[in-house]
Amino acid sequence: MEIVKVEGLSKEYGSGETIVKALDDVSFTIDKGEFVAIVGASGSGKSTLMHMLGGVDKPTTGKVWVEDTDIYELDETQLAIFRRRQIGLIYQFYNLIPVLNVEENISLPLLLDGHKIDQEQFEKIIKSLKLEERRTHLPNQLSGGQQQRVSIGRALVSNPAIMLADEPTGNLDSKNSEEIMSLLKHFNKTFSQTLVMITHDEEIALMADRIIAIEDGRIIRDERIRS
Amino acid sequence: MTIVQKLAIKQLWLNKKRSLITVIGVIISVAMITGVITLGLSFMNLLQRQVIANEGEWHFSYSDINATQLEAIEQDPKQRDILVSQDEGYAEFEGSTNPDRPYFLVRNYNATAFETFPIQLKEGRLPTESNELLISESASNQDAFTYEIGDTIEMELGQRVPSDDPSRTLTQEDEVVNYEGASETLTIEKSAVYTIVGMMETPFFENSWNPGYVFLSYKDMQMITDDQTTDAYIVMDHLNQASPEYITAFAETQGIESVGSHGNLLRYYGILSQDRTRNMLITLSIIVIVIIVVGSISLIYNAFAISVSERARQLGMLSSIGATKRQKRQIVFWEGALIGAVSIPIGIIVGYTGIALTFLIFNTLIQQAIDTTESLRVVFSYWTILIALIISISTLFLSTYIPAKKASEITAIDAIRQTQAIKISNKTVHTPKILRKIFGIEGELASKNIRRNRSGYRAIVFSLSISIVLFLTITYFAASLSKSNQLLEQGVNYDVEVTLEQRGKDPISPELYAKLTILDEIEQVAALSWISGTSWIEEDKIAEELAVYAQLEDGKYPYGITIYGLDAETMENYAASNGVAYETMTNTEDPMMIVQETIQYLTEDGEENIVETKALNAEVNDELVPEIYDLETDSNFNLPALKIAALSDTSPIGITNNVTLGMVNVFVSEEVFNALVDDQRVEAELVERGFYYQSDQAQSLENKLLDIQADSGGASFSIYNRQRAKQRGEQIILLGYVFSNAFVVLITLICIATIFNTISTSISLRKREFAMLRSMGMTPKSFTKMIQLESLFYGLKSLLYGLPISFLMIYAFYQVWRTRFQFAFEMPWTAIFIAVISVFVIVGLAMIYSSNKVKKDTIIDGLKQENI
Repeated sequence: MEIVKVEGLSKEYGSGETIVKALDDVSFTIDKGEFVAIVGASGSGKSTLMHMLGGVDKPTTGKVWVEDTDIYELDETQLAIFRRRQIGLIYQFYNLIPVLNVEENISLPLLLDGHKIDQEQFEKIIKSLKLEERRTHLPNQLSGGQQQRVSIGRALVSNPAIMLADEPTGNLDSKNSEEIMSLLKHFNKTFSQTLVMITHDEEIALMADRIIAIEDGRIIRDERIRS
Repeated sequence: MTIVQKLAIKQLWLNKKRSLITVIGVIISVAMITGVITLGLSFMNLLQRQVIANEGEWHFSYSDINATQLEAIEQDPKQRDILVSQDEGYAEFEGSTNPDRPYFLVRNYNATAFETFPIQLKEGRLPTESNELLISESASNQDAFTYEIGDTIEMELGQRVPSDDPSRTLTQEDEVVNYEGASETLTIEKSAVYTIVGMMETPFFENSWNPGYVFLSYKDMQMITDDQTTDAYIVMDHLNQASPEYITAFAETQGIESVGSHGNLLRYYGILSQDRTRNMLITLSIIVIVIIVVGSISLIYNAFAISVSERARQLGMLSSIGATKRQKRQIVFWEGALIGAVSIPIGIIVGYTGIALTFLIFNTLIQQAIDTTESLRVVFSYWTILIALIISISTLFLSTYIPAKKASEITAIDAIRQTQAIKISNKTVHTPKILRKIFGIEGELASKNIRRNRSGYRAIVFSLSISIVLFLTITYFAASLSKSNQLLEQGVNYDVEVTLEQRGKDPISPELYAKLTILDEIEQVAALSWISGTSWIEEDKIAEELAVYAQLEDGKYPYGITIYGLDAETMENYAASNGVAYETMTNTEDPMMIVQETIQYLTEDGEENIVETKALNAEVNDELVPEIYDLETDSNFNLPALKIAALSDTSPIGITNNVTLGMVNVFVSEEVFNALVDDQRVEAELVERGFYYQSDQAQSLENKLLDIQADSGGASFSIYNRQRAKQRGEQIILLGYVFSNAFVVLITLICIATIFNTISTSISLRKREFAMLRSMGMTPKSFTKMIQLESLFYGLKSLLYGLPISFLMIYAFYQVWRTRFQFAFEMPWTAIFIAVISVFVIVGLAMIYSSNKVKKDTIIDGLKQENI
């Protein structure tokens, strides 16, 4: 079942002679429960692509459908609401809100949505992230790996259609990287959570079901390594 | 220029907006400090010049000193000038029309005294020999004085000796002794012949009750012989705080018993320490300067503190490539120095220019307001600049020292990992659960953000609170001022008042009476005579309010009664308006009176403003018996009873209806009044007379009256132009209002600068966070709500501190004010409303301004933003 559909997506920065094509007519689809790794060198356009998928940046041309919603037809408020319900974002630098503690950071998308927190579901996430002991800690009291786990929790909490991870292990040592990756894989498998991950690390990319390679804003390779 | 200095300059240049705000902040504070000090000094200077112009420039006086002591004073290195003033003696002024002034007084001045005392030569020249004489206009105006310039005058000079104490001699400061049983005599000591060489205007020291018309002759210090005494006035070479003590000590060593000081002048040099005016001025200036300093410290401190945390990364980078602690500190210091170098001189210039412009605009107003012939001049003093420099430089130093210290402590790794900027604990960001319930997650975030940014938060709350307190206090002050003025005006129904100096039973001379009542400017005039006594009122007739606490004697309360005799025309009108036939009022066989029944009084507790009530509970045809005190027998006697013809709720011209509870004013005709006081037991001293005028042209009426006063040979009556006093009061209020509001505006400007600075920085520091929130699906509406709530919390917190403090200040101020003017305490609700609205407007604008910039950024830009 198709959950994301990208069609003719282009993004240009600048104009005239200095025009830079970050994305050049990219089209692909992602099925529900798929774990896709997007790989490419720095400047290849992979981050731009991810931002397009997450609805935080607007394309020059082309469309993105997430669960049959043409997300760039939405106005700013609708898009924000779409993001907090359908997209889970994980960043390289965690980007936690420094004044909120672990619990609050994780539940933030729900709180913004004015939802009641499903305590059972919430406990399950905290537990699987091994953050039970750290609930009331503030981000600056946590290690990098712990912070990234919080941000995974935050991405998961609203049961999004897709989870987008931008170099989730880019700032971590190998032990923590391994842990984060196995967590992501775990959520992908157990909850059939669709996951799109950007990385430049081939080894980490090999943990995905499918690898899309980008160069100069074009898809140069799209292969399924396991199904 | 070292690389460190170059970096600092680059830094300032890159953050143009913030640098500009800081520079403006420093300029405003330096300008205000300069301005406040200059304003104070200029006012003092104006008053000094005014006193010098009116009374001459001298500082201390020694009285009754002999030649040896004078010699010692001359040798005193601390004096600059000695003014000798010696009273040669009194001579009889035959034919003086003023019974208070039966003498001439010949007084000798030395050359310095003639120069220094403001003697206005009208004709001729000043005396230069001891046999030359300068006569005064006040004497020569008198018909009995027939001498002119060039004439010689022979005088029998002597001392005034009172009959009850012959060992004493009387001076110019002692009124003519003329009580029953006591008098004075002139004991002639010598005779002298003078040539009149000139005439002066009535000199400044002459009062209407001084017994002698003063003529001046010449005598220099050498001419004072051992057997004579004299007074000496001295001008100090360097007048300072130690001078009074020095003079006292000097007098003691020289055996000089009587030392005086020129209080009017020394007060404005700030030398008399017990002086209330001075202390009030100093306290006010100190409060003002403290507020300015605190305001500017918080502004400048903030600007630097922020620039340091923003540059944490950069400083870390610097230290990673080998910058020492010292170098890092220097960058911040150098920034402070640059800002100071630009803003302090500009601030001083702006301060002086501002004051100069203000003076230019207000000189006319001020002149009328404080009745001065001198105009305000900007007093330039190195002290002002020095104080402004010291305060601003130390402020800058303080504001840069702490941030600089912090800057130097940032290690490379801290800075690069950005752990420095966010040092928060659960406790700092703990918010009550209720907050989320009421305001949602946006409210919680807003509150936590405020809590995180402690120093910025404090600066904002402090700035706002100070603005609130100042605004409310000053508004209340101005309101009280005008209210007091109104109170003074209340119930007063005349424009000009003339009170006769001379008391007595004889009616005023018909000539003077005619002169005083036929002037063109007069709309209405009342000639009043009055006498005060007591009247015992039965318990059931006293005022209700009085009954509560009155202490009765034999069931009666002793009312203070003032019996006014009204001139025929005034009585006729007054009687008619109260429905009484004039004829019944003039019958001395059956004396009738009209009682002022409706009065207004101010309650003691200050709870009520003005209470209108009945002076007493009497009825028409009741009788009151006035009781008068007899000085000689130290007892009271009764005057004939007065029957009430009418109870009135109006008053004749000149009589206010502000009457204390337990007092009553009654009005009789001139005929009845004269018959009453005809009783020989009534002391002439007790009978007073005056004229009350209503006029549109109060000023020209006053001038005419002054002419009459001069013609009648000295002041036999005093003139009070209430209209002018009223205008003056209004001008002073306007002046105070304008100055204090200008001050509030400046302080508020500083606060606004601080607030914009702090908020815009705290928001731009959070750019990445905002982007994060948005990427996670925070809608623009939520975002706006969060920002609005943040403003709301800032505003609320400021009001939480500002309003109670303002209230305390206002109430304390009210308590002080109440000692002089009684009115009910009223909360200045309008001002509070304005303050509350302004607080939210200022914070809101700052938030909107800053967050709009953030909103315009795309989420991607925000996310990419390194933690600056």
